[in-house]
Amino acid sequence: MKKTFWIILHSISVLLFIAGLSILYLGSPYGYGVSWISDERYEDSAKFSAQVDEDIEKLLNYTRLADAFETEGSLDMDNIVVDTERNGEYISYTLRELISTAQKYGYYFNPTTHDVTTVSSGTVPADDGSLRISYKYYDPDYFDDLPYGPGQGVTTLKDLAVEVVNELSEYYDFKDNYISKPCNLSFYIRYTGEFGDQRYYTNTSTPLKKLQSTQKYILVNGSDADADTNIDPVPEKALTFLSLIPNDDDDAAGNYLFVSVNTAFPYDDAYKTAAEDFSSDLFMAYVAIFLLIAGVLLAVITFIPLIRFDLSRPKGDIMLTASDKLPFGIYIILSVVAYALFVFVCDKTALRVAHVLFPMDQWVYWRRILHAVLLYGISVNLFTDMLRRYRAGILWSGSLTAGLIRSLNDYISHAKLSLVLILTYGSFVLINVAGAALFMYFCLSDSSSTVNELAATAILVLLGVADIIVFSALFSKAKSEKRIEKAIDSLSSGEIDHMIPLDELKGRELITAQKINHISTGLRDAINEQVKSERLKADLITNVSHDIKTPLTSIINYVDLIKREHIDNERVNAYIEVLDNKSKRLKTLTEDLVEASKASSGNLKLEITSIDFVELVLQTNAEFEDKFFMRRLELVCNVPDEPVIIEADGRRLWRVLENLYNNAAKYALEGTRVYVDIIREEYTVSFTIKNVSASKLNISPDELTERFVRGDVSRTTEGSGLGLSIAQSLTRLQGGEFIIEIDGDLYKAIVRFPVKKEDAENSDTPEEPDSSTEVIEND
Amino acid sequence: MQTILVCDDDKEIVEATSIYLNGEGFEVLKAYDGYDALKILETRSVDLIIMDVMMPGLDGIRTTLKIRETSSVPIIILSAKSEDTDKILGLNIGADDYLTKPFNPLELVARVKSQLRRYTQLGNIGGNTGSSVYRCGGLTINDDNKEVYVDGELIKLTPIEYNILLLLVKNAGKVFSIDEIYEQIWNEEAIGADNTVAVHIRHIREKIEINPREPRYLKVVWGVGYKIEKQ
Repeated sequence: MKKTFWIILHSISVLLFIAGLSILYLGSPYGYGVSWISDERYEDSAKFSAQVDEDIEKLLNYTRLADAFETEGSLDMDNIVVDTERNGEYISYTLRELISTAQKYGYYFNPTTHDVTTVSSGTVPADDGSLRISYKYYDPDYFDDLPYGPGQGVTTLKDLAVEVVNELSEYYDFKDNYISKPCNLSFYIRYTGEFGDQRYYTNTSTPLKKLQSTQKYILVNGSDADADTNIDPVPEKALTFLSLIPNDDDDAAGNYLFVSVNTAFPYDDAYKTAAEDFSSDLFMAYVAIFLLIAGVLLAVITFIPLIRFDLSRPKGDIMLTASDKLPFGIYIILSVVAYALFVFVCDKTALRVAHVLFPMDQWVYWRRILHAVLLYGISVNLFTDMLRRYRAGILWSGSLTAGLIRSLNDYISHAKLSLVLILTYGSFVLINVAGAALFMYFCLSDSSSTVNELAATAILVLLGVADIIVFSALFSKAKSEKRIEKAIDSLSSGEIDHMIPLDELKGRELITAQKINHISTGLRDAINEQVKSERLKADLITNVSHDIKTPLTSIINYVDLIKREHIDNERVNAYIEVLDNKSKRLKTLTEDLVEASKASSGNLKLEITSIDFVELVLQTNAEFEDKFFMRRLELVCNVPDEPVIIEADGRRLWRVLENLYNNAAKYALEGTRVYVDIIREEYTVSFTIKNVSASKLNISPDELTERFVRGDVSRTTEGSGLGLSIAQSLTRLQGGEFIIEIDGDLYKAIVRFPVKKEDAENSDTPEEPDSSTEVIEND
Repeated sequence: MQTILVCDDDKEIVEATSIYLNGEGFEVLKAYDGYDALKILETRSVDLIIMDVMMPGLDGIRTTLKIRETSSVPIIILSAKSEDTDKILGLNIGADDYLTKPFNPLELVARVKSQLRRYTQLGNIGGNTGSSVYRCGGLTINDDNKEVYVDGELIKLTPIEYNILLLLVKNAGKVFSIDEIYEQIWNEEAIGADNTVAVHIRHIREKIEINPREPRYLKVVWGVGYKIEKQ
């Protein structure tokens, strides 16, 4: 696997980096940065300077002790080193007394090794109570460093003795290492002591000037604030020498501190060891830096193929693992959890191993390295994962944030109106409340200055302007909505020509208006198309019927002419009768066909006027009197006395009734009654005609009104079968309701119209039809 | 003998029509399009023209207009077009009557006779212009002797029928409802719905109209009442 190879290489680079870092961190020059590797020699390095500094501190400490412990250049055991006071009694202790006191308490000063050892054998006497320090000869500044107050400087003799023997051990430490035996460090120190006495110490016989010209040195002169030195960086401790010099000393120029180091390192001491270590340190540092750079370079180099591994592939070719299905946000959280888990496990296992392998002072470092490596690994994994997602195009779309935004968008688009309303109203209220509060603040503030008045006025004006803007926005919104509402109303009431003017509309209203316009345009097109096709159909039928009528005229005429010949042949006469019947039926059929197609397509002009339904029914009754009489049908008519005014086209409504009466006349059982009623309801008036069918009505009412469907298909009549269809279409065209009911042999047709408004108001409570039943006697 | 010009592009219809008219004693001239008809009219004097509308060449409407430029001879349009608009158009451009195909031969003959009577005898009847003579197109009522003429032909009516017709003719153009007619004729309040008047009117129509379903004089205003068309 190519990818695995790069991953391994990358891991190696990380290890190199860690190795380099560890060498630098754990190596002896830690704390001096890395700039020191540019120093070719030890004596040029900061480490050397630090060493000199350390030695200067030791030297100054030595001189302080030597002042107290020495007489004429050698240790004097009888020198008084401390003055004390116990219960008002002043006691001064010599060095010898204190050494023996310490010994009494088990602290033994070895005169040959100059070490202090604790002897725990034998009985140790109890501490003999506290005493107060008056003056420490070996520490003249003792009280300067203490904050003043009661109980200060109170100690016990034991503690004092132990302190002194420890100081003595320190004194010897310096003296043994730097004075008694030859060393690379040379010093001259000369200053005025506490009691005006001149102090002078040195460990060399070589003249100062010579040392200054050949060695690394530092010279601090009492009259000068700056040190004269060729050591870089300057050992700052040397300057504390200046504080030792009393301020009132006239002979400040005579006080000086000189320290020099022989850079040839002829003697075996700390300098020589450090100088020898320096080259190996330098080498290790170079190695470490090389490792660091190599690690970083290799990491970068190996990281590029890792990135390219995913980026170079075509978008669709990215292998998506199961983890990629998780939203990126969740993946990040999981990575953090994984890191925490790894840290926990590593602390319990790998760190224990490190504790075994490395010294204690390095434990913290190794722990840090371990955690850093884990963090790095997980970060790299996360980064490459992110790249892969980016490349696959699911970084954003698959992320938790995107999901959140998506669902928020979803919410907003669904709850848009209420949200917008809430936001608008909320901001409106907010602005007003804030403005009012500010206004009150400026009005009620104590200092009624011009500025305050101006501010209050400005706020009032701004508030007014803001409110007017909000009001006008709301107003125009309401106006737009009203406009849209109107359009929807007219659309629903069938005014498909209505278009919303789009000017002045904005945002959501504009979109809604455009959509509504689109709907009405589509609707209009569809309806126009339908009307057009219906009209075409009606025109076709009309034209065809015209063309049929001309030959039909000849047929009817010549049949009639034959009949006039009075042919004396029974069979021929019967044939002619058939021809006569059929040609006349064809005539009816063509006429009804035109009417039916026009009525159903609405392709005729209505002349709607106010008519009296009762009058119409009476007129119709009269027209059909003979026809009913011929078939021995009794017409039972039940109509109100008062006129019932409806809005309709009289001639068309007559056609409706004519067809219904015709139906009754044709299909009612001979010798039965035909019932005609007008029933006035609150807002409507219903006309019903009922008769008993002569033949079985095994057909549904719907089928009856369908074109070319007839209740009785077996019987030969002159009907076209279009009568009910025409009646239904015409009724509906005039805004009426047409219902056919069949109950066994009882056939019932209902024509219902709304009563004209003023008329309906005039008689809110419809009178009971004063049933003046009119029976037309057919005799 | 009166001469009738029959103009139709359908030869059989012309033939059949002429048979009927010959049977009634008319001389028949035959034309098969508008140009034919105009040509014949240049040479012959004609008493009445029966004109088809849809013809090749010059159609019936344009032919009628052309004829009306020079002549007031009665023209009956005989067309397959049965729309109201067609009828109105035909009557407006100068035709005197309009009959749709397929037609009843008897009705055609009756209309022809009616038109001829009006055209030739109108002056005679109209001569007696007393205050008691009411005229409406071809319908004349002489209230003095209670006689009713349609196109010069005496019509027999019952007293109630006569009174109803007189009421309508006196107020030609006005629509009377059933109740109004009842109150005027019977001189009493109309009680309840009754179709006596309507039946009488149907009877009058049957007597004075050639085709009661398409009345020329006594018109039914459906749902409102009845009226005599003002002419």
